[in-house]
Amino acid sequence: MKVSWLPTICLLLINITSFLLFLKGFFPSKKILSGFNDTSILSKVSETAKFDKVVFMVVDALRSDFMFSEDSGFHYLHQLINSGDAMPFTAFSNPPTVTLPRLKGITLGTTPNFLDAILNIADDKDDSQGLLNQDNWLYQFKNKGSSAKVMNFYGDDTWLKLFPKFFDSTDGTNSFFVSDFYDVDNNVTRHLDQELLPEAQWDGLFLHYLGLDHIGHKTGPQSHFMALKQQEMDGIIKRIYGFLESSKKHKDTLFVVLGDHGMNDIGNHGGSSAGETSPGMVFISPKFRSLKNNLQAPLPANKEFKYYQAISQIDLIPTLSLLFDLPIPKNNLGMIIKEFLPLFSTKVHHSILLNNCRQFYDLLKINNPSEHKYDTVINELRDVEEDYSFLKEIQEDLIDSASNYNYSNLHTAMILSVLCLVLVVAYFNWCMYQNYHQYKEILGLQIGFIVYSIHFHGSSLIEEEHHLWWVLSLAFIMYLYSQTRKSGTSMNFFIILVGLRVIKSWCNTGQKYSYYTTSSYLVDNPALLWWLITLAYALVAGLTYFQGSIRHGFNLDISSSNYNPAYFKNDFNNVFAFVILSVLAALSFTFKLIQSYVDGYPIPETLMNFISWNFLSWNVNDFEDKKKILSLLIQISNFATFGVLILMGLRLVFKYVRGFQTGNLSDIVNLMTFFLMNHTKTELIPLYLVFYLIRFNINRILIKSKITQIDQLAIYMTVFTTVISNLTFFSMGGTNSLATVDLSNSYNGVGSYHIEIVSLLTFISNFAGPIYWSLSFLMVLLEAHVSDFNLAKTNEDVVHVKKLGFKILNLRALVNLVFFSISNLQLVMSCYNLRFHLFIWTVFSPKLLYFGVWFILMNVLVDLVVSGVLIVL
Amino acid sequence: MARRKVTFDKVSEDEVEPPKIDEIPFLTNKIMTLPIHLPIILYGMFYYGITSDVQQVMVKGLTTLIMAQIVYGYLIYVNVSGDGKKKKNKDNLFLLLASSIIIPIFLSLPVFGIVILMGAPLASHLYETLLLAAHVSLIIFTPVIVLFKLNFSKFSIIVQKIDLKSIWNNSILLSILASIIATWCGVIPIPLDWDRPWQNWPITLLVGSYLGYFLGSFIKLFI
Repeated sequence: MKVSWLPTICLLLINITSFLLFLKGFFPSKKILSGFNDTSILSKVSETAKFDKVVFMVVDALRSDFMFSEDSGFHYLHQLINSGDAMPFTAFSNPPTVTLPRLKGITLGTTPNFLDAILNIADDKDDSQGLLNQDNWLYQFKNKGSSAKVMNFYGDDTWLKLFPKFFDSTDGTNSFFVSDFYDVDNNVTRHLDQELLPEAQWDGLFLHYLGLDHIGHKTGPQSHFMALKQQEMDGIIKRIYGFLESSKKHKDTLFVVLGDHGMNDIGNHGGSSAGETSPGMVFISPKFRSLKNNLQAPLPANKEFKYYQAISQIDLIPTLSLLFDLPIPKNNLGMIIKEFLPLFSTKVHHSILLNNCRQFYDLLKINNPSEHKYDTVINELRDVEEDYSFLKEIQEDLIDSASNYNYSNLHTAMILSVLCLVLVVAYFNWCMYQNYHQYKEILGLQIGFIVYSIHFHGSSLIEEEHHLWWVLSLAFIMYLYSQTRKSGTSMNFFIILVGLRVIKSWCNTGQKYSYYTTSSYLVDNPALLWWLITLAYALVAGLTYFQGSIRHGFNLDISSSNYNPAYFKNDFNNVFAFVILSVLAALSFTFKLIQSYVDGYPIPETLMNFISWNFLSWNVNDFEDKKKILSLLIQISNFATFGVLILMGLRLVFKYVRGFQTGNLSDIVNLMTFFLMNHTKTELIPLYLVFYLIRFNINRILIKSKITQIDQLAIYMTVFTTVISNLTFFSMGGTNSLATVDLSNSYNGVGSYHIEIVSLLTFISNFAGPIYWSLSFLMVLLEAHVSDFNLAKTNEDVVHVKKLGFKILNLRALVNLVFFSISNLQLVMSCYNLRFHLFIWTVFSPKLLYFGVWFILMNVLVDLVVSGVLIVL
Repeated sequence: MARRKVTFDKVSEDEVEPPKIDEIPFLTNKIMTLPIHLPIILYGMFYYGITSDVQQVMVKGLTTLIMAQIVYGYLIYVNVSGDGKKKKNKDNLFLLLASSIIIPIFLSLPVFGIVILMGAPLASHLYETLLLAAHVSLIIFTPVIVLFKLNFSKFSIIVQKIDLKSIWNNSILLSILASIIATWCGVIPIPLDWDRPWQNWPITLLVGSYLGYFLGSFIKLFI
């Protein structure tokens, strides 16, 4: 088979370029008004500001039901609502429901663009976020009156990035360290000791608590940590409000408590489901008693998360401007909340709202200069009703026109991807037509790719992509069966089929259905779960010991000169290898166990003893001392990782110094499996048992099938790897929505936030399954007999043939390139075509990013670079 | 030294000539055996509100299907090729038709297993899936049993040798294949976000298996 690297690499680069160019043009930038508004709301009427100080408390991911429902832990807050001190709202937060764009929303009053969401995931070292040059209510607040006001901030350091050098006294905590439930919040609360003293001099106190969000990510909204955290937050509200009420200085202090976004049923956020977009918001002051709202709290829980009056989160901004008598920020898209108007005399309501209307009108003018239909309307507004309908109309207009695409980039990218596709398909078919003996298969394969790529055009098809991969997996397995059934492989196929079905049943994925899954069953039955995990680690340790020749490498009695891979004599002397691998497996197991304990998984009784034994032997005597346990966890995690690295290094020493060639690749892949397992969620680890079963059987099938053409084997395995990688990704809980990016294993062994390491670990932990299959591809093709435990035949393995490994890799790269260039074009066309679609930011754009990860990180980095390195080793 | 051949009078089992592919029985009258009952039953199930009460209507449809398949089996029996009238008289028609219903009912358990393996939900809808398996099993196995007259060895040899062309040439085998494929394709509309009552499990699969079989036979009228 003749394939060369140059065309493959060139075409790959063209494809990547076109994709990146599209991304650049697709995520639009908005037109904004620069400068600061300078006419305050009440300047033309005979009313004064109702408040002059503010306590602004953001609790990350504080969903409305956490505050207001009957299950809520905010009992003191409920008292305040009943007495009329607190004005509660459910505040719709625009997706993407992640912190950075939401903070922009609640300071500027703007609706976010999608780029904010990505920057939220990778926002360190990026100072472009500074909001000091955009009109916002914090600036207006600070500069009201003769001297600058004193504003202090404690909490999520995203604020400090948005407002560098703005606050007078600060203490930032990093929002990405999600496994910490306590320190992030204690770091904020400890400052209250000084700030809530009578002599404390501040006009604005800003707090941003992160613990509740961390608990959501780690354990979901139902966990017992959540109830405790709610009570803790309620206690803080009580403490602050108690101080404000008792202090004479704070008669005119407004206390605002709000969530920046909500969370979905499993505790993640980023999407646009009802739970994610429904945070609560409360305004608290004794002055609100005069409004006589007569609201009751708590309310019965409801699934739509609708409690009290529904507002938009950005309505906060003009409302604050009104209450403090500030100019409305220029880019604000919020409307003054109607419920607060009665604080002012009825005569001035209309002129208050006119401020809001004018500001909207100016914003519309810059975004849409040719629009004249509102020119006369604005001068003819008469009463409050008309004002509000005017505001609503303009708001809709502005949100629609918020996306300005860079069309020249988009068009270039699309032309480039068409060009790339034509070249790739032509080259691929030319290559295959000449060299491949079953050209029909190649045609069928490409038809399959095209059928798959059609799904990019439907939003629900993207959301439910896992079904497609299930069908494609079955179709491929059946085709393979039809090709090899004469070799007596029926049993192997049956096992694979059962294995695939088990994988499919493991997790909920997609948006439409939610079943009781295998993983939820296992979490409910911790004893079974931990048996399976033990078995999984034992299996990988056993494979590492038996498959390659690592066990003989430690045995100095055996030399490579007379080495026979089938050499089982003297096995007792291999005890050293056995012990080392056992220790590695035990260490990994311990790490997973303690991590699960810290995360609040139910742990079986017998293992609790094991945990306490671990704690005591590591000198952790107080089992509630989370700080110490977390640092212990980091150590164990690093031990496990270094264990894997050291063994990999030793394996290479055995190869190059002692000459043990057999099974080098298998050994390294097996060791890497340890690492992958350590970065997989606890309830998913038993899946590796199934993975191994499938890998063993597909290997058996390919050996039995007596296919002698290595290119045919390579193409079969490439397709198999593609389908099963995707099936596995979705079955491990992955989706095409940003909400399910799992951060719970992104901090393994990381003491503080390093963007590079954390991003890498996020990728690895979310793509552990696909990475496993990508590495298995090498094992099955290059060391088939080692994987089959057929030690007598290991000399026939492909890995011993010079350069064949790279040819296989090249072939895989080429097939994948066809797949990705077809998909790329379809996805790009679909996103272009549907750029005004309702779901463009919640479905299609995240898909674009996921596609990028599959394409650039999985296909290029893992399938090409990592695999290449492994073959060279 | 060449070995001498020894022959016995009794013909050993192995030497019976295995049936050839072109010996698959086929239908002589395709109009008489058009499974028109399938779309009618399907329509009936929708008429009686399968979208609102899946289980009950599927049971109702199943009993109707059993009755109709007996008649259909008889029509196949009458119109099947191969044997002359003489031989036909020897057949135990009652036994054949009875087993063509009873065997599929038992076979619906393995079919159920296969449907689960192919991805049917495990945590819920088990009864619906079982009913679906019974429907499918009756639709595909009854005609096969009548066609091969319970000659299992002949059937299994042919299954091992079969290729797409001989399936295409045989109206009943084509219908069966079409029914299986259409049942599988029936899952496609379920995840779409139209949120219609007929997207409930397993209505679309049921439609697939009924219409797939009917269309398979219908096409053979013209080709």
